[in-house]
Amino acid sequence: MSVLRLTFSYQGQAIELVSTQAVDMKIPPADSLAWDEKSSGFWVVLRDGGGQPLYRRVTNNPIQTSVEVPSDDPQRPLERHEVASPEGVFVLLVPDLPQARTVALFSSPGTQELSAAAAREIASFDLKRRRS
Amino acid sequence: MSAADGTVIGTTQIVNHGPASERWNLVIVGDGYRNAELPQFAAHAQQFVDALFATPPFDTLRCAINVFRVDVASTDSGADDPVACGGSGATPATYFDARYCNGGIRRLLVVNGMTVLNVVNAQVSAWHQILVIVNSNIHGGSGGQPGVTAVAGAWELTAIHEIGHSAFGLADEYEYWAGCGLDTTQNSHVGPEPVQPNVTKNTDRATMKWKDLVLAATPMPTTSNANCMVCDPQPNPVPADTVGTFEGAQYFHCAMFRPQFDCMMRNFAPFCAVCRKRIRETLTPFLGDCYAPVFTPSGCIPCLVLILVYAFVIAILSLFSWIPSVRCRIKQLRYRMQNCGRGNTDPCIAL
Repeated sequence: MSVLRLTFSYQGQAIELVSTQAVDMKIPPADSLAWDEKSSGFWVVLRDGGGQPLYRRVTNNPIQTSVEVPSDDPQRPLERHEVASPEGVFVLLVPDLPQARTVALFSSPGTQELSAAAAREIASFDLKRRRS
Repeated sequence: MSAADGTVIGTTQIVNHGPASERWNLVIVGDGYRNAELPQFAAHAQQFVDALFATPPFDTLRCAINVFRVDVASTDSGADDPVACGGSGATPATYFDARYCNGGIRRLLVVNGMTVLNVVNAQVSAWHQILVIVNSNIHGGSGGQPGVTAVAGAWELTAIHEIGHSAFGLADEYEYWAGCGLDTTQNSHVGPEPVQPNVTKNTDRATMKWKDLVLAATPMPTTSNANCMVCDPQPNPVPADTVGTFEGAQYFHCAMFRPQFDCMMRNFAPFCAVCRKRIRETLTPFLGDCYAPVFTPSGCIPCLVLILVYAFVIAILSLFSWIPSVRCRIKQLRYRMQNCGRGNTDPCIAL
């Protein structure tokens, strides 16, 4: 099946869709398309022209306002740290569907203080204009 | 300290379980390995694959997974190790610019993510997950995209934990942020239900998200933290494989629950049942419909007899070949006939 590999870059709050590439591969199955709007976490949603969700996948928040780092304590081998100036790149996969129009990212704030807050739509991109 | 500081040598598929377009493809990339050290990188990559496939549920899902190793020779060995974090001050010239001490955090080891993406996109276009192994024995790494680890400490488990996040959307199940006894803001979770499958604030056995895995006799909540100012010090009061709701998860001491006392997403114990289920649900579509049977080779005369028997059984089964499971059985018998003298030890040959 054809899949869209979406490559994003981020710096602070600004997120940019850097490239859209069609790839012949499979992707993981969709998570429920009926979700609680008040949930916390991170997910990507592919929508049609009418705003209806076509594919949704829960994943770890790839926008690193905090990072997980190995610790020196074998009983508690990982710990988290805030990132002073978040910036980086990440990739999300969605199915390449003819009726797909936009891709939206939902996220809780990644900071320690707000990590448990409800997710909100933080970015949306028009795929029709960007498809290469 | 950039892509000018080395060469992409090429890609070797070290686990081949079928076409990349049909399987879940893991790509392992190295940084800080000089050309003469690439055999060492190959050994580290294999070490990780062995650890992954020994970890349930990946042991039973291995046929869904391909693994590719991208060999990149760096000019120098190791990673930047700034003096500011107590390091040696070394600044080796490496292709992906691996460096410790990001943000002043000693163990935070990162690489140039865009350079990694560009290389992997060019080498293995159908990739799902990237792991970067850095040739350094200083403990360090980072989650995110891509996951990065040095070859120190429990690095294979750290990498598997990070894949749990990025490939399967699993939450951290540990109950602290910076560390037990260090946090002052992680007492009680206040907020909505998390979307991740392996943490919850709901302890109602009738409505909670992993209710199908909770036995009627299991108390709910299964553990409660008596002092939300600290990480719960109590030992596990129930058998290790009990699925319930254990208080303390996703960075909070209280009001957030994990499915089992221990888990890969908490403390590098084996994945809990809820995480295993999520991984299985994600990877099952990448499995083939039918696989060759595993069997020992037979001698000439037994093979002749077996081939006659199999041919007879296939003739009978062909009457029901509209049933998918019967069609698979026929393919398996044909495979046995064709390979009777050789046998088969590989359970991942798709038919």
